Amino acid sequence: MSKELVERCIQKDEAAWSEFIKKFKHVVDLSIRKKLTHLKFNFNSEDVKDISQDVFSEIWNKNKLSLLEEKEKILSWLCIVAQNAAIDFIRSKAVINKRVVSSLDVEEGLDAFDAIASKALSPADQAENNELEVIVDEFLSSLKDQDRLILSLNLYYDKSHIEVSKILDISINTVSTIIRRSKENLKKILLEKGYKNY
Amino acid sequence: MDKIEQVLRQGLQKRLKNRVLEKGPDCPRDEELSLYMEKKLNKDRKEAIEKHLSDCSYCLDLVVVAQDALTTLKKTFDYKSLLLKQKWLILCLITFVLSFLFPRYFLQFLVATLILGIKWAVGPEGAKNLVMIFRSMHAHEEAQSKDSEFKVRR
Repeated sequence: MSKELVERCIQKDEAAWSEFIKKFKHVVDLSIRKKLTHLKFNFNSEDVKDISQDVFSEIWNKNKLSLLEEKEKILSWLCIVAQNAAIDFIRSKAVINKRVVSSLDVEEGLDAFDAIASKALSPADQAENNELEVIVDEFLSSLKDQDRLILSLNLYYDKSHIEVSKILDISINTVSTIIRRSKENLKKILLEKGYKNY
Repeated sequence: MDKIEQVLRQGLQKRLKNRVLEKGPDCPRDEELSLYMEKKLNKDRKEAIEKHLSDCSYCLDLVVVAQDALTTLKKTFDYKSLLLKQKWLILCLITFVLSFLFPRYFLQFLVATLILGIKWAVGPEGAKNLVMIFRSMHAHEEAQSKDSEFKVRR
């Protein structure tokens, strides 16, 4: 049914286009809200409305639907297009953009490497921290792409093992095993390098 | 949170946070990402996307937030379909309550309740519920009769 509607929109059938907007407005708005919230951007319903209008007019004007390989399932595509539009919106507010990025940096960038070692860092401790940073980075680089992706989803995005398994289309056991094994391997490497407190 | 997890988390943050608002030249097309999410890619294309996602927070962000939005959407639909399935029961209860709120039309509301109740009972959801109720009643009766037989024998 979706496919037929999309085909009619490609043929520039305006009635079909109204139906398309009515059918998918909710998912586009939802994606915009989620993205803006995710980026900790303060927004109101007017912002969402503006971005949503941009998304649909862009799709219509550039006939983006005609470029799609798969016309049956377009929900996830719409989610992604809507998010890109939300990012463009944030970028267009350049000053705020800078504020968003720097606020993210402040929150996440507090070095845990620092926090783990000690509160008042001597130069020797700082050097040790840098070394630890390098070891962890090398370890992450040495992992298989999918394993690193699993760790990112679990530890960076705080996704549960079930959610990770759904996103990557693999079994939950695989996810749990890889997370456990990666932690064990890193622990072993750190132990070899003389870091005993891990 | 153990220490290993903490250093891993920080290591990942260092790698991923640089490109939050910046799409790179090697980022895949929107549709390629959506096809990945829909599990429509062959093995090679899937692996190429995963290789990219493992180091690009811009695209990984897109996938994670899109997945989140779709999960929320699915939950809302589930909730709606549940309400729709039980619509006759809900209407029946509403008219029943209304019959007490408006005593003047008590009888009319009660008749409406009865009609809606019948409608619910003959519908697939109601029938399923009724079958379950009767089965459990039957099981209960059987258990009771066995119990009394046991007592009589003693």
